[in-house]
Amino acid sequence: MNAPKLVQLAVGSHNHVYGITATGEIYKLKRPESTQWVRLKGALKHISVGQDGTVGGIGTDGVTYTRTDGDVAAEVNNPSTTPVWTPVDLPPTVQVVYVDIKDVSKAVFIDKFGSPADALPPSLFPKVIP
Amino acid sequence: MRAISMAALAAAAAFLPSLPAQDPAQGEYRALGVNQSILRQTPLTFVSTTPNGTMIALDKLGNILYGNGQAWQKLGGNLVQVSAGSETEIWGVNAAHAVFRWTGSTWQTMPGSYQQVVVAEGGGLGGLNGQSLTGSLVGTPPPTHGFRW
Repeated sequence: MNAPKLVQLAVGSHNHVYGITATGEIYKLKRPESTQWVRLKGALKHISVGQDGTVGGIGTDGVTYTRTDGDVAAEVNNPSTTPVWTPVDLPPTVQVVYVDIKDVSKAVFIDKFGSPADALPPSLFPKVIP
Repeated sequence: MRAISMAALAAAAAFLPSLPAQDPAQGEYRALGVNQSILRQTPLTFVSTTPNGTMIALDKLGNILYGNGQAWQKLGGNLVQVSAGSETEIWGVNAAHAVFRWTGSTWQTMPGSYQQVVVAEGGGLGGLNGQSLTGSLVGTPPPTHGFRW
């Protein structure tokens, strides 16, 4: 496919490279097989990916989601696969506008007030709050 | 850009407020070390964290903030995007799409012109060019093997 016009790039490793377009379309480089982009289902306003391939994103609904590398691989290999995005369990008063994920255990975000915080979804990340 | 040493940052951080207590009723997150006097000025728009907890953030005005998990300190210079893969691999771009790398004491101008640069924790550096249609990914510090799309 032709290269999509990306407005945001996310790099977790050489094999975990993602981008989103202005309309929220999600693309992943089909590494290591090629440098072609493959479009994934769904739409995001912001995307981040960790070294282990964990994907974090802010949905068009404003909810912060994560997705495992294995689930993405399943969709890449079989486009009919339904993606599994897991919502991050944050208090309803917290509206995330930016998320930076390094791996399955580390994420940091900025809320709508511009304040930074750790995001620790119990469903995915271990609890590390001291 | 104005140079500032890590030692100076650490010394400044020692006089800044410590982490606020986490309120269990507020859920599974915690506010990160906040120098309220800085964050009240302008909200953050970007934040990138490294494995050891160092954070680099930008506020709405493009000011660069260095966070050690307990406090924030303003660095010199002005960027529109920043990314940290490790303590030694902190990259950013300014409004003119010039690329900079933090040396630990100052911002070093790097070759190329990019809309965004993203550093992976493992050292990969991705760049998105000004037209957003092509980019490249190389190892850091450059030049090492890489590829373009």
